[in-house]
Amino acid sequence: MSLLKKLVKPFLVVAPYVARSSQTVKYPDERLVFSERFRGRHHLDLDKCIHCGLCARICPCASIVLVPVEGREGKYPQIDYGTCSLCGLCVDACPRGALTMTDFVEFAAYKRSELVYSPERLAEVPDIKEVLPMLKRRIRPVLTDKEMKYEVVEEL
Amino acid sequence: MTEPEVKPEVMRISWGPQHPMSGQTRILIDVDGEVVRRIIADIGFTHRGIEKILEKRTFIQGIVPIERMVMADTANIALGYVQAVEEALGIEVPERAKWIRSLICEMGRINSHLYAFGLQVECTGYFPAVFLWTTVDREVLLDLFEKLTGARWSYSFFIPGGVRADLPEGFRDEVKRAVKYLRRRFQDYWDAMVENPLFEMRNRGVGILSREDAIRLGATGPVLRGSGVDMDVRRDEPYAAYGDLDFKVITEKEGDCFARLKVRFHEIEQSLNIMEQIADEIPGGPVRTKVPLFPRSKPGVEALSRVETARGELGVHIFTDGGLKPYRVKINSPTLRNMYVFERLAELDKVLVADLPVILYSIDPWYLDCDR
Repeated sequence: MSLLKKLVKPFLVVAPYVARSSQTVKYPDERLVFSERFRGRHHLDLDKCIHCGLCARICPCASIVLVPVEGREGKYPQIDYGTCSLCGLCVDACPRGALTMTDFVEFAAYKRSELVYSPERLAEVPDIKEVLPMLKRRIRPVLTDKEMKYEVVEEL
Repeated sequence: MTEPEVKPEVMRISWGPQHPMSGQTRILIDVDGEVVRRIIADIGFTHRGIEKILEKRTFIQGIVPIERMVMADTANIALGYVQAVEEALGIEVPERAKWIRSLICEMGRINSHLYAFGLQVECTGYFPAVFLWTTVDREVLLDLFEKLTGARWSYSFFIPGGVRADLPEGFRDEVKRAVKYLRRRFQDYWDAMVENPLFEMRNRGVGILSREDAIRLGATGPVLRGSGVDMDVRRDEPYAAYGDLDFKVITEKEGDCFARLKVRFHEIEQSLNIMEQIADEIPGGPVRTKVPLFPRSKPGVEALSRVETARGELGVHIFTDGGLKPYRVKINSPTLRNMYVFERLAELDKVLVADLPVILYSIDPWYLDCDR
């Protein structure tokens, strides 16, 4: 191939991509729907927990401590999301399935102490609309043979 | 680090610690005009004590810290550790789990090679869009990772005795679709970038490492194969499902930056073939044998596992003392070996200051892997 041909070829390859759909997610307005197995914030079922403490023992980051809950017997896990790596080993270790993981990832807080989630706070997962008031739609990535694009799952 | 003395005829420049594209490290270079006379890499600059941390964690807990060694290639690194633990504790792994492990490792390898390819193109300074292209294409793999393991990075998916979950429904079709999409994209990369004369001029004949020097200095991974040495742990000492899989070991003779890039590029093709094979031929059965949450080791057992990561050969050596935690874990990391080669390149070949970033990113360094 001549040098001129070689020089022109990259432009011919790139040209069709000008018409490609946008690959970015406009986050506070749009939010991805994560897969079923996605490891986000924990949900604790207070009635299922048997206070065995296996979650606290297996945690590699020592983020889980067992603390008492008002009006209930026994101690329940409290998770520090300042150090948690969301590995999900605690969920695997839980013998009663009291700990599960949600697709909730909005952890931002003003103080580090706000990142320590008490058992009562873990027991309820807030509605996404409360945390992201500007959220307009939820999307998910779809792969076709030619390109990757986003399709709208739900308009809010 | 004690700095070696500067000779009067050269000037010493400290390159780093802030590097715009990869992590932080400090590299000292002695320059005479535009010619680099000596390279001194400050190995240990980002030392985090991962080996010591692993002594303080139980066998299963150790998976999480060791994955932080190379974030772009967590699957292969974690596999090295998990296999060593399995050997030390005498744990069997079901066949299907091995195939799933190979699948994730190959996806991780493509992910890491794409990142390396993007960086090498970016540091030539001509084509900033290509790094964005590779970032978008990695997204396809990250979505697959998310569906399979639940995380986009640092999967913590391999545990002693298998993997944590089976393939989700319809996952094999999705793998095939992703392979088809990526193949088409890589053809575009090849046409637009690798065959681009401007890019070729910047890379060909730069940072030449001969076959003899590569063996003498202990290079590994694509750097070694780029110098024409036919060596790959996946084929030479098969682990996971690699014994049953059909793939070629890529070598290039030239030993320059362009050869290393081509090795990575052809390895991506081989990885895509492997992914397709696994999606077609994966055997059934359980994915996990029952292992206690806190397995106890036998005293005085030694185990070594070798794994071919994206950057080269990783060795994990475990000693046990009969407790719940390993007594000592020694990690032989690939980037450490390649950084020694990088230090010597100025002696072996004429290196200009302008070529230094190209050479450094052609060995695909990950400083946290180097310093552990």
